[in-house]
Amino acid sequence: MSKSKKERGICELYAEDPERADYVVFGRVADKGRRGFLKGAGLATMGVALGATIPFHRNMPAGLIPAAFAESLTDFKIEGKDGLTVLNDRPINAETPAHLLDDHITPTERHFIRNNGVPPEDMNPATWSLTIDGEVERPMTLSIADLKRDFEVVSYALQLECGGNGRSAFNPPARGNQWSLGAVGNCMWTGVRLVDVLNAAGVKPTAIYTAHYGADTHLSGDPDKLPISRGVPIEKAMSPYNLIAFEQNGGPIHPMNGAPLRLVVPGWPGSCSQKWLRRIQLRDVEHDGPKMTGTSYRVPKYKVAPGTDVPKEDHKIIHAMPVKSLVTFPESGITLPAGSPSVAVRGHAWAGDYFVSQVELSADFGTTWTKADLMAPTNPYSWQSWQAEVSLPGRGYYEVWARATDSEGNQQPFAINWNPKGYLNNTMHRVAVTVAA
Amino acid sequence: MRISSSVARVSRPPLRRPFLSLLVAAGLCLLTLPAWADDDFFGEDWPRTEGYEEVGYFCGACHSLAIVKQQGLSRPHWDDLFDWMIEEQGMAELEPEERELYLDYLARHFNEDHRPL
Repeated sequence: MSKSKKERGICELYAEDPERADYVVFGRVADKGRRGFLKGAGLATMGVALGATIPFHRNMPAGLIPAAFAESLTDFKIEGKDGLTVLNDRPINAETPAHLLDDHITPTERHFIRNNGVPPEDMNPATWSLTIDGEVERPMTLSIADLKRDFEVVSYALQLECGGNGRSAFNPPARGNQWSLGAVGNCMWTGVRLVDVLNAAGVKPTAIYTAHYGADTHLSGDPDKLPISRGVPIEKAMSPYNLIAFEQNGGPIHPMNGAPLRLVVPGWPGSCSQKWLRRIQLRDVEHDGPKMTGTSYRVPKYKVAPGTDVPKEDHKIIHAMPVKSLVTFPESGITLPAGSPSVAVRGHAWAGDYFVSQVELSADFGTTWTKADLMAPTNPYSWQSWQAEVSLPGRGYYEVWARATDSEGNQQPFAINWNPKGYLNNTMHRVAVTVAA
Repeated sequence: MRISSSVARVSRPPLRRPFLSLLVAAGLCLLTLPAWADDDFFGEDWPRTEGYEEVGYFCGACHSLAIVKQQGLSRPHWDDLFDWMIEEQGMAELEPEERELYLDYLARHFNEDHRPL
């Protein structure tokens, strides 16, 4: 408790005025000619707080909160989930601390939860039905047994990330659940291809958008309101890697992850992957269900300065998520034994509708970079795991930064591309590592 | 696979208002119990200034107060959020004096200088 209080105090200070915070907290003054000069006294103070000196202090930008202070954890328990941080309990929203996402295939108990409403009480796979209707030649209602019998059953490792993952770093803050890093996962999903089912129903040329409906109910209890109903352009819907899934990691889907049937539309905001799936309607207009309109899952059509009030009509719907990486080992805040010459670092990277082509690491605040060994994806839309050995020349405090580049050449930024609702934060993940004296 | 003759039949989940009411009632009871013990219905991080009970019960009736405490919004943005909850989420319209009281409380404690986590 006292630890989190202290962290909050520091975060508040840095949010108000980073350079002043540097001075107040650490006595650190940025030299005009350099981007991160630490005066002797400030350097010592920061070192005391971190329990180590900072070998690369001359490269450390002014106003940068040491990553050792930038994360905090709280443990709660959800049945069938392990180690998740609960952001909200009504509706339930919980994310996974980065170091618990170390597996290439995310265990079911470590996959994040993002609920918009109240999950249905009946999740019986034997009586579940899915309806396909709207702009199709042959509207259909199918049981899960029908899906398994009539369509090819496939398994893919598919990464899902909440559109608001990383929102907690926005300044000014953006409204909504304050996700830090862990609203992302890469489970092995088993189901049938959405495209096969749509083709069986016969997609009319008039169909331009999907509309997804789940069995969860609105928080207010109003039966006429849907908590969320989103969709995707028909071109995205026809991708062979979208699944109507009935298994998660070879077992039942976790109740909070959408049992017994859900969509998995990887690479796009997680909200496109309707949970407790009951109906897919094809529409001849852009879908306008709850959380499709206004500013939900939308960003400005142009770049805006932090804090700008952007008119609703100047927003556009988010499509693919941007390139991003996560360091899952070591855990931020680790102290290595004296004399450790290097640290083995590993994690994952993903890139919306693209592949990741490169992951690089820095331990000197971004001055020099080392290429990581990057795995090919298990299949398209799986995240790609990577590992590297990063040199640490002597005792002190380091930050390991990870930076991924996608197959189109897009690279993770250092600073947030601020937007009013706090989406798409794909800034570099920073992990604190100390080598003991 | 079978072709549905009545597509609209399954387009909406069954009504479960009674169930939800029970759930909400049960939830409130559970939340209230510890309050008798340590007077902490709202959590110790819900500041005890004018309006805290009114705002806390009003917001907490539909969603967790945890989501409120995470926010850092200016008064106009809290005002916008009220509009969004009324227009999109079925929140009841507020009397002007209620709205002022709630906005005063939220903007005082959960303004842009309030950092989440």
